[in-house]
Amino acid sequence: MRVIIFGFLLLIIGCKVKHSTFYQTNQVQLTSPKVTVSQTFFEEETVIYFDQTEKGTKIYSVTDEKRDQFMNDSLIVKETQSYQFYSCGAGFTTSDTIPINVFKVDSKRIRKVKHSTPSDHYPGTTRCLNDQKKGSINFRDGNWMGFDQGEFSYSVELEKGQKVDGIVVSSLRDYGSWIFCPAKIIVALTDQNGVLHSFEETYAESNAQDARNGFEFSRIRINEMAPAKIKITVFPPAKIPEWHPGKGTTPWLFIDEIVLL
Amino acid sequence: MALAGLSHLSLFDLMPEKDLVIGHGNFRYKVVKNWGTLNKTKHPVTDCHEMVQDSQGRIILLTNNTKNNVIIYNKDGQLLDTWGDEYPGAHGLSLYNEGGEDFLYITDTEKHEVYKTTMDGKKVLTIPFPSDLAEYKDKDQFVPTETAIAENGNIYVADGYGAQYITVYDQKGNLINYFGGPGKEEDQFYNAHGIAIDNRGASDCLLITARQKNQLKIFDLDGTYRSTVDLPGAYICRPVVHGKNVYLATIWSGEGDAETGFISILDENNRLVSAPGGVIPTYEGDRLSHMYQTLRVFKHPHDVCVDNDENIYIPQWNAGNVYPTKLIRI
Repeated sequence: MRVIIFGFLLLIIGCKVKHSTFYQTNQVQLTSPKVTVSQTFFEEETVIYFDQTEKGTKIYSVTDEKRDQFMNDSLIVKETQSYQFYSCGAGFTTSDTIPINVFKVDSKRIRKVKHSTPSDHYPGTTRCLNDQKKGSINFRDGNWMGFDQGEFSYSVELEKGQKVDGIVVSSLRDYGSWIFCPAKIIVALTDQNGVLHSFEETYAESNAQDARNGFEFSRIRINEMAPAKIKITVFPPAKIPEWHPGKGTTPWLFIDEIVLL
Repeated sequence: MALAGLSHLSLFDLMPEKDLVIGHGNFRYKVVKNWGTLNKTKHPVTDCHEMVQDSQGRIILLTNNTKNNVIIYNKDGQLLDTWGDEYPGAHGLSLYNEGGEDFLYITDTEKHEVYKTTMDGKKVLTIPFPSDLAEYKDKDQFVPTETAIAENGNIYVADGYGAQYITVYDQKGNLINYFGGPGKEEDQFYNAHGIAIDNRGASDCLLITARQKNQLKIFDLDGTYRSTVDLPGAYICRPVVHGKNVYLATIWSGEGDAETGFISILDENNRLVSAPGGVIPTYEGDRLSHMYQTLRVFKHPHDVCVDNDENIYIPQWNAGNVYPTKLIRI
């Protein structure tokens, strides 16, 4: 009897699937949630806001520590954190995730700053590399420094006793404007005894499939120390890759913030 | 996954299904599978730019694929006819009935000209770049994206990818007026992509999209600026007036990222009442909240054609050479 009922149900389902003229809800993917951050670089706290999604769907987050946490309208964050947010529900295919990074910073550490001279066209502002103000996706908004002569260097002297355990370089990806993210970053720290400590990170080659404009936060972890001086050298890709119309030429590097963690 | 790249059926899809419904309020639609899909070798498309319905009820598609610039369907998506191999930049398509006969107006962004043709493709008028105007020293400055034809037969041409002027011609193609141009002022444009005659009010006027500004601008037929409708987050292509409503393909949304399109439908007061594929429109007083895509139904919708059954057809630009999508109103 159960077999007969099961077979009958399969017949109904099969007929309905076969004759459906329209696309089904589960054949359509949700768009990634729309998320805005009050401050990417903050001293006390920042707020992440979530805009309305498709009716009947919700936003969830994934971090290194927790998975699939339901999000309300907003989220107060008080520590450095990396999130992946996504939408799901109402029978739709789950959206792609959207990465959001926020960084707790201490702006009192820096005593002296020196850096490469940016392009005349994109000079940024005097303090834009450590004003905790995030540039927008528009590289002309005045918050970005643009460099087209290869590597960029940034040197700071710190107040004595200021501890550092990481560096973040905030850059822009806009392949349509010949702007590429760092390929390598070298951090050289001189401790209070004059000893040099060096750390290096290399990053995956720029891929055409990552074509969407966006921000890159290149993080370099270092052994916690109280350095006297720090020199950060950022290297763009040596040449623009083969898949790009500008192949073989020197790419632009756009940086809006250097953060000491 | 957007319909320009369908998701494959999985075992999960064999569960009792739910037809996808998109849109809001009184403007909700189901999305037809595979409408208008043809043999890609015999009848290819590249960008599907615009569509109109003729007096016989046929659905006319304009594509920049020179194997068949014009593809003619019935409302069921069956192929009736094709023609056109000389419009590599085929972009704007308008239809105007003159003395009982339908004519098409085609803009070509690569040839920098506008053409009036019969329904079987015979050219009856060519409008070249307006060399008499000081603003146009070279034909490359004239990149016409759309036309609109007034009741008296005057032809309005929107130079959306060129110098941003609206040029006006009489029925014989003689230049009689021009206005607009590039700039930040209310009567100026940043991508005057689409234009239409609005006959809903006491007197006819022009609706002109300023796509990069996310605005719909309203002008008198003589080029006098009237007002602006702000549609924040909506990169609108061309206005299509049908009954009391205006339909606009919204090619990008939000911050203008790729593949974020949806459809915008305005009421008789030019308020956004439905956004198929987008977030539900919300107003605080007269201020529309920022619009954005919530469902990946469309990549880059470029036009909306509304037929006499109130169903709509959506051709897409840069969407993997897909054929148009039909939405059935419910």
